[in-house]
Amino acid sequence: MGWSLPEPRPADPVLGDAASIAALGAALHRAAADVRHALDDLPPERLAVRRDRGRLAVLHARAVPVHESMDRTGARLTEHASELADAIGLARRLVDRASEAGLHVDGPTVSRRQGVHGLADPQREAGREETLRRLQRVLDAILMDLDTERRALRGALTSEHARVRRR
Amino acid sequence: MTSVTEQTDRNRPTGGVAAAAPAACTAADAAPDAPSPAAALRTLAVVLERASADLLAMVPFAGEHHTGHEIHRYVDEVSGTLRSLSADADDLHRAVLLAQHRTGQEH
Repeated sequence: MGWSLPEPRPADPVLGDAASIAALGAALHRAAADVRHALDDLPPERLAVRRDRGRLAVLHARAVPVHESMDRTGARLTEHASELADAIGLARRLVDRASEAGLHVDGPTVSRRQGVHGLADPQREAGREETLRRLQRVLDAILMDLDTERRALRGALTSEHARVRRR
Repeated sequence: MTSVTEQTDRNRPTGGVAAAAPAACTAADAAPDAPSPAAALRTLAVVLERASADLLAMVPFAGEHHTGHEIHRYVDEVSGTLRSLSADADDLHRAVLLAQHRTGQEH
C-alpha cells in the first residue's frame, strides 16, 4: 500500500499572540490601580505607633515606584499588542495575495510553489516573478517594523525591570 | 485563596480582632466608613499578594524569543516584589494588632 507524508504546514510570517499581550497589559493596569487604592487608604499617619508609621512609610516608598512602573508597562504592552495585531493582519493579507498569485509564504520568505503548475507562459511567469519580489519587499517591511517595535519594547522592559528590582 | 472582602471583613470593627482595641487608632479613623488601620493593612497585604498571583498566571506569547524573555523577566520581578511587599504589609498588620492588643490590656 502506497502512502506519503503530508507537506509540513508553512510557518506563519509573524508569530505572537496579540490578545495574550493585551491581557497582560490590562492585568498590569488593573493590579497597579488596586495597589494604588489600597495604599491611598492607608497613609502612614493613620498608625498610632511611631515605629509602625516608619515601617509603613518605607512600605509606601517601596510600593509606589512598583505600581507606577506597572502602569507604564501595562500601557506599553497594550500599545505593543496593537502593533503586533496590525503586523499579523498585514501578513495574513499578504499570504492570501501570494496564494492568489500562485506563490507560497513560509516564515519570512515568499517563494514559488514547487512542482509543475500548468503550461509554461513566459509573460505570466514574468508577472509572477514581479509579484513575488513586490510581496517579499512588503513582507520584509512588515517584519522590519515589527522588529524595531520589539527592540523598543525590550529596551523599555529592561529599564522598568531595573526600577522594580528587589533591593 | 481568601478574597479581599473576606479578609477585610474579618478585621472590621464589628467583630474582628482589630475591634478589640480601638484605642490604638488615630483621629483619622473617625472618618465614616473608613476601615481600621489594621483592616486596611490586611487589605493591602491581600491586594499585593493577589496582584502577584494574577500576574504570574498570565501566559503572554510575544512570538519572538528575546522579547518573550524580557516580558517574563519583568513579570517575575514585579511579582516577586509584590509578594515581598505583601509579606511586609502582613508583618506590619500583625505588629499593629499586637500594639492594639497591648493598649487594650493597659486600659
